[in-house]
This record gives sequence, C-alpha cells and structure tokens, in this order.
Amino acid sequence: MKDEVIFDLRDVWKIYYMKDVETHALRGVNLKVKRGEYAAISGPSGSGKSTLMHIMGCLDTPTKGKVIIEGRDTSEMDDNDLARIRREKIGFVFQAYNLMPGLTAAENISLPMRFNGIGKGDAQRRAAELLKKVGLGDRLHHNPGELSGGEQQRVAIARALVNDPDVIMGDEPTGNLDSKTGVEIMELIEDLHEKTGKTVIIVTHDRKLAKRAKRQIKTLDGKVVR
Amino acid sequence: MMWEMIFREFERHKLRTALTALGVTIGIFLVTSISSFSEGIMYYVNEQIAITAGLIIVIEDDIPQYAMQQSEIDQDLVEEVRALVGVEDAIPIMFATIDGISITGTNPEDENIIRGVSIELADGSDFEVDKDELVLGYDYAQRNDHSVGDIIEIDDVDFEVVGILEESGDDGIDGGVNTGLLRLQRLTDKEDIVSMIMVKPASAADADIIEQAINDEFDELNAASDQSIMSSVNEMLSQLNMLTFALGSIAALISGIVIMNVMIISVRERRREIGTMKAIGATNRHILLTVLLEAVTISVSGAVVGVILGFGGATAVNSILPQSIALVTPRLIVQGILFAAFIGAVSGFIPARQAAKLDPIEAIRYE
Repeated sequence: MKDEVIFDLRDVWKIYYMKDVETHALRGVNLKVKRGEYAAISGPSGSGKSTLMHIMGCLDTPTKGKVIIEGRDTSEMDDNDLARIRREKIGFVFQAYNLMPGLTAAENISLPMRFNGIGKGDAQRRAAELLKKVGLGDRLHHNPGELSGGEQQRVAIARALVNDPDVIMGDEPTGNLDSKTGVEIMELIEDLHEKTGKTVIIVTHDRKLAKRAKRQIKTLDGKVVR
Repeated sequence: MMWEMIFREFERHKLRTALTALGVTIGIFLVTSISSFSEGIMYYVNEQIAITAGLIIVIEDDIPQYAMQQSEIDQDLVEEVRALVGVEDAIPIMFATIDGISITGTNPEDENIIRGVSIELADGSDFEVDKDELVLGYDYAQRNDHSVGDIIEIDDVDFEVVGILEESGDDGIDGGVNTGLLRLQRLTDKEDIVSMIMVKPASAADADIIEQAINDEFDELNAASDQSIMSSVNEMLSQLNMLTFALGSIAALISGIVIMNVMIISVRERRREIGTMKAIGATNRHILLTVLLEAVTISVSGAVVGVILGFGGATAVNSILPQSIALVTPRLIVQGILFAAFIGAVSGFIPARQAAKLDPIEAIRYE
C-alpha cells in the first residue's frame, strides 16, 4: 500500500472571476501524492500554493480538470460526499487555528467526531486522549481564548487527528507563531508522520520550514515546477 | 445534537438573544391571556348548560345574564308562564347577597327539578319554605367548616344548617347557600318578587317555541333557552377569537421578522466559524439543523416565558373579578409553544439555508 497514490490531480485549473478580471490561480496542474509522503508546497505569494492545497483538500473545487482521491473522482461527488472526505480522510490545520471560540478545547476536538454521529461521551474521551498526546492534558475545559497561540494550534492538531484521517494538511500552520513555537508545532506534526505514517502536506512560504519535508512541491504562476 | 454550540452562542450574545426572545414572549403572553378568557367562559358556560340543560331561563327584560341578582319579576307572572301551552312547570327562584353570603331561595318541592339533574344532598335534609333553615353549597360548608346543626347568622336572624349539598362543580351553587323562597323574600322585604323563572317544557323539542312565546307575550320578561344562551356566548367568543387571531398573527409576523433578522446577522458574523465547521466535515444538513434549532430554541424559550406570564396575568385578573373567568388550560399552553416553534422554524429557515450554502473556503477567507 506504500506506493498507493492518494492524490492524483490531472490538468487542474482554477480561475476566479472578479468583476471583469479573470485571475488564473492554477493553470493546468498535474500532481500525484503517494500515501505516507511528507510534502511541502512552497512558492511566492500568488503562485497558487494555497489554492492547490484547498482543492486537494476538497475545500474548493477546480474550474477545470480532475482531482482523484484514493481512486475516486471528486468531480462526481456531491456536497455530502465531499464533507465526508473532509471529515474522515483529511485533517486540516489552519494558520489562524480556527477553533470555535464558544467551545472548550475538548469540545473543539470532538466536533468532527460529533459530525460523524458519535456520542458526546465517546467523543470527549477520545478528545482527552488526544489532548494528552499533544501535551495539553490539563487544558480539557479551557476555551481557546484562554490558550496561547501555540497551545491553540496543538488543540487544532488534535482536532485534525480525531477521526484518524489518512492525511494531515497544514495551511501555513506556523504562520501566526513565533519561530521557536513554530518549530515545536512542526516537530509535533513530523512526529505524527514518523509514528503513524500519516501523509502530511504543508503549505508554507518559509523556505527553512519547507526544507524539513521529504518532498518539495514548488509552485510558480499557477503551475507546479520541479 | 449540537446543543452545546447553540447554548454557548446564546451565552456569547445574552442581551441579543434575550431581546429576540422577548418579542415572542410578548406575543404569546397577549395571545395566551386573551385566549384564557375564551377558554374560561367556554368552560363555565358548558358547566352551566349541563345543569340547566333543556330548561328555559326567564329573567327581567334588559338585565344581562350575568347580573341575574338585579332581575326582579312579579311573582304573579310565574303562574301566567306556567299556564302557557307546552309548559310543564315554571319554577320561581330568588337570588340575594346578604352579609357577603350569596343566597338562593326556592320552594323545597322544586329543588329536585332545579338541581335533581346532578346534585344530591350529601348530608341532612331539605329546608322548609318558611323556616329559618339553610342547605349549604359544598364549597361554602368546606370553607367555613360548617356541618348540619350549626347556626349561621344572616341579617340578625339565626338560621339552622339542615343539609349540605354534594359538590356540583358550579361555583355559584357550591359557593352559596339555599333557603326557602318565602323566607328569602321576607328577609329582603321583597315579597311577591322573584329573580328568575326556570321553565321546563313538556317536550324538549318545544323549547324554541316556548322561548319565543314568552318573549312575545311578556314585554317585561326575557326568556332564553340553553341553546340560545350557548349561541349568543359562541357569537361573543368568536369575536374574541377573531381578535386573538388578529393579534396573534401580528405578533407572529413581527417576532418572526425579528428572529429572521437576528439570525441573518448572526450567520453573517459567523461565516468563518461556519466555514470551519464545514472544512472539518460538517454537512450542509448539520449546519442547517444547527441554525434552525437555534432559531426554534430562541422562539420556544420566549414562548415558555410568555405562557408563564399569561398564566400569571389570568390569575391576577381572576383575583380582581368576583368569579374566576380566565382559565389557562393545558391546550393553551401546548398551542402557544407549538405556535412559537413554528414561528422559529419558519423564520430560521432562510438564515439556516444561507449558512448551509456557505463554502468551506470561508474558513480561510474571512480573517
């Protein structure tokens, strides 16, 4: 299974229409990512690296071309199928953490499980387990506002892991953190990659961070360059 | 499912949520308290009708039904009414309130016709027509802790309690006392005067004709069968119900608009949160239900407060009036709350659909 292709992008285009201006965010991207890879997508701003990841992660749909995830063509999927992929196959970590401000750390983590129809008790137990794993075992009932940026990102990583997805996707996951905390967060993600063999895809404009990955994917002007 | 999210959202915007719910509270309060009058009147009329079923009530003309105590009829008319074709019996009755006690005067031989339908003596025996004797209503005896053999002083006369009635369910009968017609006429210095004549038709089918005949024959009398009392009450109630309906519709419209407006604003404020929920796997249906449930919860909690206030209002009105009129029945409570749930669901639908249609990419876009 090691060589199984998880993501297969074929001639993917993304064009934004704003008033009369067409912006070509992606111009015919072809890309394959295999199970268990640790890849960094980097490139200058406006090169389409974020758009590329959003399309791979089913947050966004291509204007043209096909995105095939584990052999299934996403263009043939409806909203529910896409939500299921986001919920079960992919764990997202955002730059701004994106935790629900009203919910506690444990409740935030258990949310994707609750969307999967799992009861509160079971979800909370799993959340507690994961919080311990990311080093925040004592922050179960804290609200995001009571946590530091690094702690919030750890909670977000725990949330990304809760449904045991195949892929962890990070969109500038250290972008809002100081460099020391950023490195700690990257070490946490890399540790997960090492120990569980999860596929990790990181978007970053930070060259040093990108170099930590085993595979470099560089974007320029909406295309993937070697 | 996502109750904790909904309640945390209310906690974050306590004032906004409370004000939104307040609109529903006011509407449901108004509708409940007005409806409680219809309910109450309907309840008491039905009870009254059950007791006087098939009888025709005759009182002085131009005196409304609820003011029977003021009705004064010349006792000679009783015989004239009894002589009409199709009349089996005409029973004179007098009502008076002395020393705060409401007293009904009848001839003992008529008692079984008046209350024989449902009310028996629980204890003792009947009074005699001209003696200082009383038969007490059930509630009156209970409230004042009286039993057979007790003496009650009315207008400086000592009356002996000779009997106590069974509970009838009618406030007028249960809460008062009964004595001989002649005795009460003497006590009130109104000999040859009665308050009401109860007419029993030989055939129940003739009630309409007899009612008409009495009204035609005697200018000074007003006859009404239970049927016609019922229909005039129904007419009044239908007017009250129309008012309630109009008021309810306006209240529903306004509070519905308020809820919709607040929910649209709230969804717009939470674009990023909703986008994030979708990005981590919530389906459109999850989002739709969460927002819809939020609107219904606001509306229903407003309604619960409204129903409680309506109940309080009805109790307050009853305590001012001599007889309990307003009645908040379980039916009214359930109706009010279901109505509010409906308002919440309808007004929450558009914002919920807007939320459900948001792109997961909103999670990143709005920062």
